[in-house]
Amino acid sequence: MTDDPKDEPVLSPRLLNAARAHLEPPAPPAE
Amino acid sequence: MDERQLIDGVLSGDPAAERLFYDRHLDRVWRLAYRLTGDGDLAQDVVQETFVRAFSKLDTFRGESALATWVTAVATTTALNALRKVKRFRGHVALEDAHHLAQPGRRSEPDLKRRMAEAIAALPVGYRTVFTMHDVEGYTHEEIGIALGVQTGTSKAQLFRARARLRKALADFAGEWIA
Repeated sequence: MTDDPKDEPVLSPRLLNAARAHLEPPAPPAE
Repeated sequence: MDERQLIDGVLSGDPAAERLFYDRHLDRVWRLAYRLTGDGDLAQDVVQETFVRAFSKLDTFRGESALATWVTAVATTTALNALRKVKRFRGHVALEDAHHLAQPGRRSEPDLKRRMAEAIAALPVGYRTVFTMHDVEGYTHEEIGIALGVQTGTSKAQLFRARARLRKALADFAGEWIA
């Protein structure tokens, strides 16, 4: 993320994928 | 229809403008509602309430931010209020899965997912909100600041603390952090 302070550790792609997969939203319900 | 025309259309009660407004912002609102509440039914309620509130408050929108950012702020406030009412973030690991969490040395993907779910659910709501919006959904600190009514510095500080807690909770996965 471009606005991260440089000295902050960030999640690895593997952890980020796990975080994003958790509660990944399904398609929005039809109205 | 550009943003100003869309707003004017909604303010004048034009159903086509309301529909377009809804369609343009639904995905963003739904995604945020779902992630912040951790519950599909609650998220649906949040989506409905968000658009009701957005339409009723649209006359107060002054264009100081992008319309999408303003809608995000309404959605975030609505979701967090809904969460406060139910008093429980439901996006957590079911109790019957909890025994899987106490097995040291396991680093399978299902294990990581469960551990991540547990770690995220254990975050204080403020940290979880900023982490979800920034690292998971890709909002900037400026957008998060506007959505939560805080300075960008506060958003950054909360993200820092959220990541620190996740790092501690997921210490078994050491080496998965990029400094």
